[in-house]
Amino acid sequence: MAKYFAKRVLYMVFVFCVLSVLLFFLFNMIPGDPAAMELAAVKESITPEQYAQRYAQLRDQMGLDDPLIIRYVKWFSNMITGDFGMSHVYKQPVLDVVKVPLRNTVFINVFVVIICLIITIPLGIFCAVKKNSLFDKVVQVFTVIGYSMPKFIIALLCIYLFAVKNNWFPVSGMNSPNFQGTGFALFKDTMHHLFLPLLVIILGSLGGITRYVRAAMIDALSMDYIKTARAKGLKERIVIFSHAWRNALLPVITLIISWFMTIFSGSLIVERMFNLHGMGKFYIDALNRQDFNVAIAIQMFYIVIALFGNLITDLSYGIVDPRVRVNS
Amino acid sequence: MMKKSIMLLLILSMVLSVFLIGCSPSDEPVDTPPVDGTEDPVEDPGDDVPGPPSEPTGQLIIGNSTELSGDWIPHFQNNAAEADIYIATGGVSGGYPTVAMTPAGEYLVNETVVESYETIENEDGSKTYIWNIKDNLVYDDGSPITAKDYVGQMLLWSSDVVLAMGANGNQGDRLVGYGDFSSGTTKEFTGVRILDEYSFSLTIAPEYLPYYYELPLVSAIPEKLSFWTEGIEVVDDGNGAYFTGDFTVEAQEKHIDNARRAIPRPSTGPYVLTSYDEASKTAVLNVNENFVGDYTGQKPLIQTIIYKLVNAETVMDELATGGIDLLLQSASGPEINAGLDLVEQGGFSYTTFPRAGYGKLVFGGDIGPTQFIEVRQALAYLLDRNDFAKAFTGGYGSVVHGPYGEAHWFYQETRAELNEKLNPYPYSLENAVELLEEGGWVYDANGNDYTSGIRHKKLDDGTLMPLVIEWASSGNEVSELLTVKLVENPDLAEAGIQINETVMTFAEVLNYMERNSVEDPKYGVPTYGMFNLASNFTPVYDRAFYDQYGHGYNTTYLDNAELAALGQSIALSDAEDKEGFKQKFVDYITLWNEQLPELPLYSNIYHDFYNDKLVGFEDTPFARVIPQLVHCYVTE
Repeated sequence: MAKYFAKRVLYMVFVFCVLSVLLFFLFNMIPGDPAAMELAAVKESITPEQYAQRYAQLRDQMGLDDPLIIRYVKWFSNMITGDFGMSHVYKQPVLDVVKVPLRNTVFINVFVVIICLIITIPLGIFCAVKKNSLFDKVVQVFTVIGYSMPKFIIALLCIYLFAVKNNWFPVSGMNSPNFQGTGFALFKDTMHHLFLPLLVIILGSLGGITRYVRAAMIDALSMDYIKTARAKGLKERIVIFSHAWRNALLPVITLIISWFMTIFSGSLIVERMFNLHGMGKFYIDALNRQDFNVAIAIQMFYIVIALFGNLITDLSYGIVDPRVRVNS
Repeated sequence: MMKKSIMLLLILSMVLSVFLIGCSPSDEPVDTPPVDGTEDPVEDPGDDVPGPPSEPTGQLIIGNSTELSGDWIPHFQNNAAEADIYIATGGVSGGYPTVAMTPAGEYLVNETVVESYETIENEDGSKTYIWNIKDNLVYDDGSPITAKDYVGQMLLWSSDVVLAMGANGNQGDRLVGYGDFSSGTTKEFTGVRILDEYSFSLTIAPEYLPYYYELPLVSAIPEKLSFWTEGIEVVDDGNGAYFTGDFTVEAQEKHIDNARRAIPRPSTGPYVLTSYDEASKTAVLNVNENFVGDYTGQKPLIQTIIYKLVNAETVMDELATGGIDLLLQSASGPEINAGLDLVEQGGFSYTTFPRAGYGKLVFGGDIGPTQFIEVRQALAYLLDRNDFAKAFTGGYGSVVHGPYGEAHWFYQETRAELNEKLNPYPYSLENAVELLEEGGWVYDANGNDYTSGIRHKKLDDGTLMPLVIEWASSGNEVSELLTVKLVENPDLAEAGIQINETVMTFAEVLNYMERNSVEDPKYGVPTYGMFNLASNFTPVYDRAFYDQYGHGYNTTYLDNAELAALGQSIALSDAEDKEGFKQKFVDYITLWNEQLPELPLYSNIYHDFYNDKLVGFEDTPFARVIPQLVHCYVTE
C-alpha cells in the first residue's frame, strides 16, 4: 500500500510538472500585452515620454522581455515556494487576492454539497426501489427538467419570484450593505443573502446526481445476490442499505468524491448573477483582464485538487470494495 | 443504528435551520445602525418634496458595475469607482483643491480654499502661481492643513520613489524642475516652493506655456505625509521644496503600500471611507464632519453613501427592490427601457446627459486603400450612421461628426457654425461612387475600365491596388452590427469595395492598431486598415499629439501636417483667449471632418436612474458623482 501510494505521489508530481509547462506556455501564447493593457487607462493623462518610460518599466517589472524559458524557470521556482507573483490588477500578491474568493466559494459549496448529497442519495435509492412508480416517474420528470434547464434561467426565475415579486430575499450580495452585526447576526444575514444562490445551485445539481444514484441502485438491485438476500428472509431495509447500496456505491463514490472536490471551484453564472466574489467569476475576470499570475495560480491549484481527488477516489475504491484493494 | 439515526437527525435539523434562517423576513437587520433623521418619516410625500435638512441625514446606495479592488488611490492605475472614492475623500477636485472643476468641466480658483492668489510672469517665460490658503482647513480628524500638506502631496506623487514602485508619478509634470526631481537627479523640486505656513508657489515650465488649461496645471491638494511615509518632513531652503529623512524605496515602500489600502485613512473631502467589505465588494462612506465645503461652500447633506457591486442582468431589479438607490450611466437600450418603465410606475426618476466620447471606426491612414481620403469618405457615405446609432443604442444615442463630446462647452458655443461647416456624410451610394472615381478607383483587376466586382487603383509605380479593406475586429456587439450594416450592405459591393473581417481579442486589435512590435514583431507590420473601438474625452481638450505622424498617440497613422498643426494649436491658446480657442477648435474639427482619420459611429445618451428619495440630483459627462451628491439630500 505504501509503495502504491508513493508511486501515485511521484506520478502526481510528474503530471503537475508537465502541466505547469504546458499551462505556462499556453498562457504566454495568448495575444496581448499586459504592460500596455495596464497603462491603457492612464494613457490619456500622461505625456508620451512618460508613457514610454512607464511602459518600459512595467515590461521590466513583469519580466516580459526575458526569454520564455527563463520566465518559466523563475515562475516555477517561485511557485513551489508558495510565491505566485503579483496580481497586475490588484497590485497585491496572488495568494492575498485569492483568499477571499476561495473562502466565499468554500463557504457556499460546503452547504451545496452537503444538502445535495443529503437529498439526492436517499431520493435516488428510493426511486430505484420504487422503480416505475408514480413517485419515481414524477421525480424523473423533474430531474430531467432540473438537469437540462440552464442555471441562468433558474437564477432569473428565483430572483423574480423571491426577490422582486415577494421581496423575501435580496437580489444580490453576500451581506446587507453597511451591516454592523457579528457572530450569529452576521451568519443569519449572510444566509439570508445566500439563500437564493444556494437554491439555484442545488436545484441545478439535484437532477444529475439523483439519476446517477438511481441508475447505480437499479443495477445493484437486479443482481443475483439481492435475490439471495431476499430469499434468506433478510429485512428489506438491510437488503437495500447493506447489500445493494454497498455495491452501488462503487460507481457513485467517484461522483461523490468529485463533488467534494468541487467545494473549491466556483460557479461562474451564479456568482455573476448574485454578485458573489467567488472563484468562478474571479478566475474568468483574471483571464479577461490578462491577470495571468492569478489565472495560472488558480489553474495550478485546481490541478492539485484534481490529482488529489483522483488519488482519494482510487484509495476509496479499496475501502468500499475489498476486491480492488492493493494489498490483496 | 441509533447513532446513524441521531446523525441523520442532526443533519436534517442543520438543513432545516439553514432554510429557516434563509427564509427569515427581509426586514432591516436588527444590528444595522439607525439612520439619523428617520424618526419622523414623511408619511405621504406626494408632490411636496421636503426641503433640505439642516444636518446630514439618511443613506444612499450607489450601484456600481465595476468591481472595487481596495486600492484607494488612482496613482497606480485604478478604476472609475475607486476614483470616485478617492474624490469623496479629498482626491483630485473632491476636497480642498486650489483649483476646482465645475460640472460643465470648466476650471476656476476654489474660493473655499484659497484666501488669495497671485500670478507672476517670469523672465524665462515660466509662470508662478502663489497660493495663500485659508487657515481653517482641517483633516477629518481635526488636524490642521498647511502649505506643507499641499507641497508634500506634489512632491510625493512626482517622486522617483513612487515611480519606482509603479505609480504614474506625474503629479507636477508641467512644473519647473519636474524632470530632475522625478528622476532623482536633484533633491529639490525647484518649481514647488513653501513660502510660509499657509502660502506656497507652483511654477509652470515655459515649454508648456501658453496653455489654455493653465489652472489645472497648478491645482494642488493636501496629503497627510505622516500617513504615507515614516520620518519624512517637507522643507524648503530657498531652492525648492524637498523631503528630509530616509526617502528611499527601501525605507518607504512598505508604508506607501500599506497606506494605499488602509482604512481608516485621512480625508479632506466631504466623506470618510469607513469600511470596505472585500467579500461583497462594498464600500461605505460616512460624512466628514470637519469638511468646510466644496468650491461653492456646500457641505454634504447625505450621512452615508454606499458603493455596491451590481451586474447588468439584475441591476434594475436591485433598483426596484431598494437594493440600490442610484444607478449611473445606463447605456444599453433594454436597460434604459426597463428603467423608464420603473419611472413610469412611480417612485423613481432619471436624468440624462450625452456621453463625452463615441464608438468609432479607426482607419489606417498610411496603409492600403484607407490611406486615401476618398476611400475613407466613401465608407462614411456607405454607412447610415443615424440608423447604426439608433440600432446600437436602442434609440438612446446620437451621431457626432468629429472628435468632441456634445457636452463640451466649446462645442455647444460653436454648434451653429459647425453645423454649417461639417459634412454629416448622409447615406449615398452615388456620392461614394463619385468619390471613388475621383480618387482613381476606376480599374478592374486586369487594369481595364471598371465595370463590376472590386475596384482597383493604379499606384505611382504602376501596380494595381484592390479596394479590399482588412478589418481587425474584436467580434463584439458593435462588430456584429457593423457586419450587417456595412460589410454585408449590398451597396458596398455595388460601389466596388470589399471588407474582410478578422476577429481577434481586443488586446490584439490594440496591438495591431498601435503597431506594438515590442509585444510581437508581427504587430509592427501594418496589416489592417480598419479597427473598431471607442474613446472618451476629459474636460481638458488637448489634441496636441493625436494627429502627429509617428507619435504614439496618433493611432490612425494619418500623415497630415495641417491637421497636426491645428490640433496642436488648440490648447496652446492663452488661458484668457476663449474666442481664439473656439475658433481653433472649429478649424480643427472642420479639417478633421474632411480628412476622417476616424469615423464616429455612435455617442450614447447616458441615463442615471434613482429612487425618488434622492432630491436635487443632476449629472454631466464631466461631473463625478460624489461632488454632485454634495448638493443633494435624501428624504426617508
